[in-house]
Amino acid sequence: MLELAAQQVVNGLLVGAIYALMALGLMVILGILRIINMAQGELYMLGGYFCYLTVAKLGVSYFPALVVAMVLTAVAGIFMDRLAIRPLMRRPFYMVFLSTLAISMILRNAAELIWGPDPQTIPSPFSPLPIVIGPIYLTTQKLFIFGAALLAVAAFAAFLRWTRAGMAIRALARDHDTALLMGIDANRIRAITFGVGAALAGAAGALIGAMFDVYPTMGELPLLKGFALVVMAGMGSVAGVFVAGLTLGVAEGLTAAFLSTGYADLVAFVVMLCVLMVKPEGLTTWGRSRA
Amino acid sequence: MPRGGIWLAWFVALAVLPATMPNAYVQYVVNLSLILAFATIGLNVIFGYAGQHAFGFPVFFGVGAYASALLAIDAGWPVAFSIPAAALVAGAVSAIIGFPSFRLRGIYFGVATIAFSYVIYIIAQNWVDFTRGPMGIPLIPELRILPAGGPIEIGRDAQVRIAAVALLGVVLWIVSRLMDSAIGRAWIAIRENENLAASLGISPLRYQMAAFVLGAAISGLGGGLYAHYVGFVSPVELGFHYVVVVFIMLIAGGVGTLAGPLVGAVVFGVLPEILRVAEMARSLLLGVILLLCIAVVPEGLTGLWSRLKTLRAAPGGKARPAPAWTRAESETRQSGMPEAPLVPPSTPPGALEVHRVSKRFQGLNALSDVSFKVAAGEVVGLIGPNGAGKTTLFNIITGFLKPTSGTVHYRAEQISARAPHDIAGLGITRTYQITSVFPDLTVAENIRTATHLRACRSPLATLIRTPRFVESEASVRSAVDAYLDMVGLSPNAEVRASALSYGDQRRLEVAIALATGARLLLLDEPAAGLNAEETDELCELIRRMRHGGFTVIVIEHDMRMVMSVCDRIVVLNHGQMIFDGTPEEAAADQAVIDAYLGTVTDDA
Repeated sequence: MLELAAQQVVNGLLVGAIYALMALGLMVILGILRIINMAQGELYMLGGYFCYLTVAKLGVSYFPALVVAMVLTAVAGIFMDRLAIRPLMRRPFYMVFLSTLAISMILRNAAELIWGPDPQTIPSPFSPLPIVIGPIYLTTQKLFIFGAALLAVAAFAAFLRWTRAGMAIRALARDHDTALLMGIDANRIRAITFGVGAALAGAAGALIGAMFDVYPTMGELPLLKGFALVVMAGMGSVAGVFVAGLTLGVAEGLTAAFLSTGYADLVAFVVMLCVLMVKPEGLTTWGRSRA
Repeated sequence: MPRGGIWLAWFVALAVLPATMPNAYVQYVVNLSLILAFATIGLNVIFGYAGQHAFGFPVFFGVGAYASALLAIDAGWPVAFSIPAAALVAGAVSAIIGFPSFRLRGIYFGVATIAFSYVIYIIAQNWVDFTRGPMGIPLIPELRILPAGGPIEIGRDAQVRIAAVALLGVVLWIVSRLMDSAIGRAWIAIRENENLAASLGISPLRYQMAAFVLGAAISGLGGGLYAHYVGFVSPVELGFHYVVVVFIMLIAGGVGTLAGPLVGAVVFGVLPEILRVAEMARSLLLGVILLLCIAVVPEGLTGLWSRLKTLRAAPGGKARPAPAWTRAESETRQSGMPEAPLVPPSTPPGALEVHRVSKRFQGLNALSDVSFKVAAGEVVGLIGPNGAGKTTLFNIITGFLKPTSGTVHYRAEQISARAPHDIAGLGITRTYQITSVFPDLTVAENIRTATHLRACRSPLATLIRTPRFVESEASVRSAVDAYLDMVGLSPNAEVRASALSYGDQRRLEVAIALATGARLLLLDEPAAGLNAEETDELCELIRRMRHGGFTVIVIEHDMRMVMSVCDRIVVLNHGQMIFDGTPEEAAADQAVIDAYLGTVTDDA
């Protein structure tokens, strides 16, 4: 019983780190561009497929392929913004939402047509032998995924905190008009924001895809969990989203083990609703935290 | 032919014409479109009229379908009862979802509704004992409006079609009656400008909830019809696929119009069936169609139709009055502000008491320990340098901010813990420092919306048009004319507020404030940006307000105006009240001169 719980906690941390990556990508796009990006799940899916294609078809090894996947996903994100979102920015906000929803459907269906609906396995460089620590079974792959996710989150936080582009992003999120008056080039920052947001999703997809395979609909649940996390944690705190992501992952793992696997997916939304009932503005905001 | 007659003709055509088509499949597709129209009409109420971005809303169609199917099968209810009950169940579920969701603003609200729709989907998938799980519910009893084997034999498709068209007629009748009343105007008001709506006495939460629940009930009714027509319901009906189809229909038909949702559903109802041909690429094509709708017909088919009509009617047609800025200055100004009588509200004027009010914003003391009284019928000027806390004080009096400590009383009633719309209901309203009107409504509609507090009747009275309702709508019409006349905007009555000149927008603001029937008006820099002539007109209007028995507090930097209209002046500086007395005393007070008025130097 206790062994199972410990194992679920460890697995939950892993999944939670992936959720956090998704949520951070959503948060940066939502916070700055005020866009609910329904296609973020498909960027995650593209990250997985780009990694798979680079490894399986081009014969590149997994680690450089991760970077390739991130870069390609970032490019895809920038293209998506340029073609289907930026032209609508003067339109009502719901038009932009529906446009991203349309892109999401198109990408998902296109992936199905091009790569088929069946899951594809990314050839893994990791040893299948488990590392046993007390009651917990770990693999080097799991450790790697968690470490890489942590690294991506840290890199993202550092980017926001210390780079000029990161500062501009925070400024835009906090006060859009004033930031523009300070001479920030909104279109350049927009592209960077979309690129970074997409790269985070791509990294998440490529990391988890190596463990659970890649398939066209893989982005649906992480997208919804990501949204729940953003709403729950509020805008602006990287650490807040990361901790909330890990907590969610663990809570889901325990629910799946002790209650029901089907309802594990409900945990995110139930917790989100509880948070909203207590604090409608979420737990943190751009205005009050130091990103 | 009257409008009602045209609608009736359309409905009869919808019910009868498909019968002439021999192909049963065509009849099936038409019926499905009519049934989906309930989902688009429901979505239109919350999304088009009330302007709330409830993206997950189409899920209530599926909720209605499940509710009706389960009531008919598990509880054994006759179909004639289970379908209306589906509307009630969908309404009840929406109330449970809406209440927490409306605590959120803007984008977050949209995300929350998506999350909720997904929760419902997961429950339908997993609660196998109750919902039958992913396999869905088969063998749902059929809807029959005539008993089988009766004297008249009508085909099953025709029966469902007649039922659907009749119910659509009822639903659209209800929606159109509500929209042509204070209830519909309140929905549009919260869509256009939620804060202004609240200061006119419209409770945003109450009207958001009403639109949410009504929309869900309409959608649920359609879901009920769907379940008993198709005979099978599964979690697919709760999924994103339907969300997209329903949104395409609404946008393609025309958001926020009466006929749009129906037109969109009928025209695009055939869509899912056509796409069945390309089953593999179905959602790809749906996505492309959605993008095309957004790019090509953002105003929808009904919008396109009325644009064509105006194009055709333009030469020699009934000319819309030109916007104010296109006319010669002399023409717009000739009326000035005529001496129309102020319409005094029925309530007596009230006194306001601000008692030891403080407001702290994270370490900044915006107001500290401010106390003063305003007697009934008095005009008080609130002056002080920028950042002195004047607008903060207005926000506290009108309920948009809660004081950190201290109280505000109006007519001896404590108001400092109440919501803005409650305070407006007591007869206090305000204007805003940054011009605040309903930009997309005409001038007359702006004022009509502002009469909410005296025009709003119960939903039932609104639907059956009781004599009291008719009477109050008539009084609203004459009041709108009177206020238009009073601020000299009658020639611009049909002009969109956003097209008015700045000075005219400020007059409109004052007319909106007066039309609420409030007795205490808080005017926030009403003369800012006005020229000397316009300022004089405004002074005259404020004097007439005092004679009409209004209490007025005015924030103003134009000292000439403050000196000429105010009975008393309160001066704030850095959140502290440094003076309270007559204008003459203020002009001589050293503290006021140092903090705000300054001295006249030789080179000034």
